[in-house]
Amino acid sequence: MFNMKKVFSRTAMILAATVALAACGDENDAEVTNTSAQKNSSEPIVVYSSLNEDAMTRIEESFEKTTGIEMDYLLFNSAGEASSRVQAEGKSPQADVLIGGSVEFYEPLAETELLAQYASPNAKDLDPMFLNVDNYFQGWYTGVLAYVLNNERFAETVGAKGVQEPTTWEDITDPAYKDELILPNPATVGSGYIYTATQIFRKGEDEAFKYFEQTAANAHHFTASGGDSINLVSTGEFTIGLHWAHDIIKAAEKGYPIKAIIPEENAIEIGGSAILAGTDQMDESQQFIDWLLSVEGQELIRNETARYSVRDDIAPPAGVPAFSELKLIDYNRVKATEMKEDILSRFTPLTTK
Amino acid sequence: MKENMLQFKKKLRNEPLLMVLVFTLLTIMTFLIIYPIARVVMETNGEIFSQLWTNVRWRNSLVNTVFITILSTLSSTIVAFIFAYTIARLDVPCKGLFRIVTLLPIVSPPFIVALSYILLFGRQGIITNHLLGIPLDIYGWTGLWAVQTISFFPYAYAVIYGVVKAASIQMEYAAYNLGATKWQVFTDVFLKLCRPGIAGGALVVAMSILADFGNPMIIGGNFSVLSTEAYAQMTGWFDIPAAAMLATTMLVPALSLFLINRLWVGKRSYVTVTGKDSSLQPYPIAAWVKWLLFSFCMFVSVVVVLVYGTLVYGAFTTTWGYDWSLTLDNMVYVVGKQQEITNSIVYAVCAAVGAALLSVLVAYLVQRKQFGLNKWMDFLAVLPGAIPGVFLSLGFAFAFGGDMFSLTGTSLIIILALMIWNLPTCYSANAAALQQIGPSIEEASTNLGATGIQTYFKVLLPLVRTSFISSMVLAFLRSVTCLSVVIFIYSLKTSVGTITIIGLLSNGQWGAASAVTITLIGIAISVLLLTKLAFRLGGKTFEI
Repeated sequence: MFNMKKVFSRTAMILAATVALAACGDENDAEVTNTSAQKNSSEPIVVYSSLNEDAMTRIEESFEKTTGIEMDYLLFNSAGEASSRVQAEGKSPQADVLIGGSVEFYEPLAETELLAQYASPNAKDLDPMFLNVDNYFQGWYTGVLAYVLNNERFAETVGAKGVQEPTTWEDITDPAYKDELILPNPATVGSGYIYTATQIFRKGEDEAFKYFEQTAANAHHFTASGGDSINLVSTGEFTIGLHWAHDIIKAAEKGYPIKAIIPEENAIEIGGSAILAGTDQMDESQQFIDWLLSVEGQELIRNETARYSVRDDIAPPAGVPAFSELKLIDYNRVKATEMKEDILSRFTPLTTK
Repeated sequence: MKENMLQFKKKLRNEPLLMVLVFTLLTIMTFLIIYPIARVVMETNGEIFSQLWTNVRWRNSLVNTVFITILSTLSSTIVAFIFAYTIARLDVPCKGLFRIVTLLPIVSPPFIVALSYILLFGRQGIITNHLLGIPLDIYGWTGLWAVQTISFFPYAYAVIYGVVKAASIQMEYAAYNLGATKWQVFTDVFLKLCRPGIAGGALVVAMSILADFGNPMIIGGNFSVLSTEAYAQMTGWFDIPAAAMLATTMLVPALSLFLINRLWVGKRSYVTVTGKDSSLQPYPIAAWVKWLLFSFCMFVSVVVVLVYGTLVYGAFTTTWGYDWSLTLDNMVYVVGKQQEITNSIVYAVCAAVGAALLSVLVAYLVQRKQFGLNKWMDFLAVLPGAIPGVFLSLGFAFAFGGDMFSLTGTSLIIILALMIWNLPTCYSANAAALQQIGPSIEEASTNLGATGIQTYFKVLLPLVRTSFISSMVLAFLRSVTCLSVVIFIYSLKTSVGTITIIGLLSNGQWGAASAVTITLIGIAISVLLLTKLAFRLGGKTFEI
């Protein structure tokens, strides 16, 4: 037959040589990658996104079809993760555009000059509340907070105690919700912080913290990611959670026995989009932003993700009231950002009981 | 010290080529191991460290991490030992099943276990709620404990089994003949011989648990640990000093564990290789003990099989956890994520080959050549075993993501990180194998006129073949299923399967996540089986 030892030692030698070569080769690759990081226009634009896979696939498809410009995307689990990545890459970004997540995440990026200014012609019809005064970023969708309620589990647990479905923020302080409620951790989840700030704007800080102590007593735990609230309520592990109405509606479409309940005195997130300052495909990136704000892009985001359009001429998503009918509080975004650190250090002990 | 200097000078004069190799290796290893660690530590400052105890959440995370690491390590090691003992020593049926059960968690991303676990044992759990009718609250340390035990005991098993198998049966017979009771033989002879294996296994598990952050994220509830907190600081707040501080804090228990292990096992040799295979049958033990151990293994096996069965089933159902009708819809995501899956495999192969080759070379130099810096090289080769994956990832992001040595977005940065992460696994296996080979064989080779390089390739490598291949395959499997090391250094073109899975999970696409997971598991098992087959055809075999 053949000499196993010989075969083995030869293989090992070849492997060793390959690795040595590969190591050198990779260094060259690295250089090549670095130079090719200065992309030419034939390369696809790269989008960092914190939307989900399904939505991004559709956006890619439609955008490429309409404009003929190719795009690639990298998904992040949260807006925080995506903006961290942009900050980490600094002046030489590996992407051209950042989309998704609340505009609060875009403010610090604009301040550190990581975003490029752009006034899209399609932005002129929008309510100024959706736009950044210096044109560093533009809101391109909006969404409202909602309870996610599992109908089946509610009937077995809270409903069985004679309690009606919740309609106000106060309703979840009812002891009947003890350990049936999960809330997003405001320290790590965008919706969690907007919900927390909403209560402070609504009631004043001290009253709000009395409220937080009551809800924390009912909360089984605080989830590290926003999606968890929906996932765990969907599978019936818990009765009620809190997140964005649009995400709840999309989960309900998959067949879970859940629904979104939108309380009054609510607040919205404005989903951001921005061109990164280091891009070398400014023209294509601008076309992408234009497309996002166009009727086509706006209808797509509404249909695919159940988010509200920022344009007046687009109907609301199915199953929710019109944007103008929402009962919103006066949510001060600047103040919300300023007080964040203090509020969170006061809130955090509640999340570790 | 003086002796080291003398050795060093002598070598430099007599074998300059060897010394060039030694220096190159030391420089590369220092650069890839010490430099990233230093970068993370440098990001911290005294002020942020003082907050570790005043910030309630961080203090709890520290206490929780120590608590769950000790608890899960103990349980994993005990389960691993019982499996190793049962498989190696007892004459019981179903050993094939037991072996598979010790393999499944190794070939799958660890955090995925938590998902099935919720479905089976959660508040709506198929087993706890529908079958047994007991509402169980698994969110928090209890659920985490159970999930980590199932996810990580196989890592300890891999180490302990080897030692149990090698422990000399003759010695036990000798003890019996000298009048020892069964219990005395077990504790005074058998356990003592297995001590390095158990300690080594426990160390591997403790490190994995310390660094684990997928499971705490999914099932931990309010039970926060350092790894999840570091991740939250990094991604939620971009608070680099805080993230670096929390990561550095993880390094302290990790390094202590590592030192304790070294001191406890010490330098004593426990190996009882006689060169002859023992034909002795293990001394029989009481039937009730045997069947008790068997039942225990059976129970764990059933849980593991259920967990993975659920995963496979979930991958083909319409709505995970609610609507169990069958569908192939989730496979769309597998097709759409080809690049990520391919990346997983390519990176794992490169990292595994690199780690195995480097480890054999280092083991050879450390053991066979006295160049005065042996201890330093040995230390460098085992040190990454004490670095939690998240820390390593953060270190590589800082060290090679900046302006000085920019590898951002390249495949190389991921391959190097995975290679370093796997180096200790490969090194300990190959160093142990090398230790059992007398230097006389190489002397013979040298006397017959072979050069050092010829001796290395033609004599040494073939002799450590088994451990070389085993450690390479293990490194491959660890890399394919690794999330923590990649988490801060992946990019558009270099994303991997585990990143895809965690993304799908956080979007609530649990069915799609299962589909990608079982694809990865399928690939890992195929590689394992193919390698086994290839070596069986060559008349050789290896253990994993």
